[in-house]
Amino acid sequence: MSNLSRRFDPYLPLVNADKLKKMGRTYGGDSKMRKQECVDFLLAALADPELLSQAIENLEPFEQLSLALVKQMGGAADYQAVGIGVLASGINISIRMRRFNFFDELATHLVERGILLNEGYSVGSFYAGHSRVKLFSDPRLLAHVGAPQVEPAELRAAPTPAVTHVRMPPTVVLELIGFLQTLDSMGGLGLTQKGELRVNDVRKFQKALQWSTEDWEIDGLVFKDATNALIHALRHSDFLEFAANVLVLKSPVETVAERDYADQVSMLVNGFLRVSEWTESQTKRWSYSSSNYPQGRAALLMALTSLPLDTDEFYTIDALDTLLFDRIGEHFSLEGSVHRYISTYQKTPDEIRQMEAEWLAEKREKWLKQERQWIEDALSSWLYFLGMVELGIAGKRPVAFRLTELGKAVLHPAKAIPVTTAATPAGDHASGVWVVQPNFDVMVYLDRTTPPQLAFLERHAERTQSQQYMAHYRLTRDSVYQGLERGTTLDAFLEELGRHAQTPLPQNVTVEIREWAALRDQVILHHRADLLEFADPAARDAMLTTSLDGRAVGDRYLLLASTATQRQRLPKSVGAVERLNYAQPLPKILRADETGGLQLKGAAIDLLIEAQLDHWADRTKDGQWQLTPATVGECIKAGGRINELIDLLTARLAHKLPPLLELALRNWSGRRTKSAELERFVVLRCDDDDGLHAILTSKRLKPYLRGTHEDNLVLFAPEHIEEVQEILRWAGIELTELRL
Amino acid sequence: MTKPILHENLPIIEVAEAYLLDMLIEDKVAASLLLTRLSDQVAVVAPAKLDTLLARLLQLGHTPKVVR
Repeated sequence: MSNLSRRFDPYLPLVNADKLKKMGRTYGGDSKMRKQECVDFLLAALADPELLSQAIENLEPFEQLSLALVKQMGGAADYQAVGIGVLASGINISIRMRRFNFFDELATHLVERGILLNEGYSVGSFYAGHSRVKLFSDPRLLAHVGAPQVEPAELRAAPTPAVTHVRMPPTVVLELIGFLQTLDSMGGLGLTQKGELRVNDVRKFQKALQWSTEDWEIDGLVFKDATNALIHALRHSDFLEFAANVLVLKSPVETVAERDYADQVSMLVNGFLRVSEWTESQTKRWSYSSSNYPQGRAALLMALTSLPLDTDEFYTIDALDTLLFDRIGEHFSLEGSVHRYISTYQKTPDEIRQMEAEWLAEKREKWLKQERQWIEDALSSWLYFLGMVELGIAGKRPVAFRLTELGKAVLHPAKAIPVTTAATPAGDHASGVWVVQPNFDVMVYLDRTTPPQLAFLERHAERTQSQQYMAHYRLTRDSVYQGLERGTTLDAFLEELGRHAQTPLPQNVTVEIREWAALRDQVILHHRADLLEFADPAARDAMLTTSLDGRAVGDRYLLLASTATQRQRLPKSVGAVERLNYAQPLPKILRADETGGLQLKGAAIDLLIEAQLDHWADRTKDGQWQLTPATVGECIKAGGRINELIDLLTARLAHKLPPLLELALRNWSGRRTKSAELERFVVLRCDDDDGLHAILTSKRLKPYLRGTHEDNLVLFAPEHIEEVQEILRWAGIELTELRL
Repeated sequence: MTKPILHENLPIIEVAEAYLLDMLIEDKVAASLLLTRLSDQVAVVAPAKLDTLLARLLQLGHTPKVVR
């Protein structure tokens, strides 16, 4: 998905002077500056990476966290989502904010600090009212912001459950790669004018992946409406970008596959953070507000991020739930904004405390019915699917969890927590990651593979099956061919395949792969070959003995080795040459007449034109052709299109294609011009207005009259010429011979 | 022709054995994409038709090396 961040430049002049002065202080500005000076100062600060880095370093932790959250959500986020994220992190907020108006006060503070701006007409002066205002930041500022930092949570460890489920990182990533490959082969996902996913494209995507449209069951856990969830998470992830109203891959699948497991998974995690079109709740209520799902996920991730890293302990979901309620319970609900109606009028402090406790108890009761279940659903759906958590199961329900290595690595990118095993040392087959069998099947131990190893297999073999700990690939002639075509050399391919194999490659496999590779040399397609054409074989052969790097083709040609130097400069021994560049329009060396006669005129004839003309016309002499209804009709019958011929003539004729010839060619191809009618007439020209009027209104002449043309021509039926002559002579009109 | 002609950026097909080109010329689809046979083993491909020819070659069971 596209980056939602926006440069501050066009917005700063809209901010009032008082606010600008406050913003400027963050970057070391002087509060005595005038408005335009403030704007200029801020623009200069935003263009100064060193100053930005320093300014961010000086921010309070909760301010840095707010920026990190906005960055994680794509550069812009609902102001309440930012507030919930900050609360869920457990981080200390150094300035005093009123509990009942926390979100507005936090947003106002962040805007006044000049690190975020609010959308809407009052930019720079935050006011939400009843609307969900978004906050955004400048991409130059976000470039200096890292992952969210949180306050460590103190959660009591739970006993290790008897039954646990976990998904291996390679299993997760293989599925992810499968999605991306499918999307790529479809040419992307189309969007409607309203920006929604095209229903047909979604169906095609689901069908290609053989996805069930119903809820999925993964290791006994229900992932509600998983198809919808994954499609929207992909849509909002940074894997994709817009290109002409279609969501396409930003980088080739092979490039994605080579990235760390954590990098790949975190891109989809961020996608889930932005999804409002789907909810985890298996018991979704009509009252849930879709804009609160991203808030809930941000809060949940913050809580997970605050778990200790140096332990592999399990925690109960109840403990996580309590932690989250303690941090955000007063402010968050899946149903929308939380309002506290506690009237303090004429109440003692004890009474107020009592009322607040009652309100909170009521809120907790409702939370346990809604949000508690939602947390469990989130853990057992996308967080489990993405391999972020290992779940402890009791009676088919998840009751406990712990972060996997992958989960820790995704949530703490700055700590570079290793997820993969080390690559296999050369020749160390005992610790290999796959076994290549004589039937060309490759069995891969997923618990040992690294992303580059998986990317290697994805590039050179067909994946046939993938399970929790094993994946099966098959080496085929086609898969090896595709890999070699992407640039791997045969030796490098065999070396890499053997290096990670647990046992030496079977001999028949090596032999067969070498044979497949050799087949590639049987037929070679050159997109841009350079060929020297000589007048005769003797001239060409003489050139073969010079320093020219190339080989003879036919009697008169020399195929040059494609080196950049040779392409630009030929040896002096070749002398002056005519150049024809087929990557550019070729010279206009053809002439055509209205009868379809074609003639080549020019010293340097390219290697296309004669064959092209032979295809459409009869060669009459050397360098001359004749287009006829028969030659054109035959080509059309064989599947040719008349526009190909007309385009060819238009491109190569030294003059405009004669319109009558074009008309004829189109008609010969089967498109008939509407038939014209022909008839003989006797034409009378009379330049005398009175005489013309008398003739046209005459009752005697009317039976012979067939029409008029222009202002002075009268048409008569030719079989009555004598009667017409007699009447006109009778009327005293002298008739002379007409010459048009 | 007085001077040699340098044909630059020319799309061509090159085969290891002449019979391979003979076979392609026998194939109606492939033949329509080949313009001029320069030798037993080399032919000029119609402009902008190299990808179509590649698809046809794969269909016919060849695994051509593509030099870009």
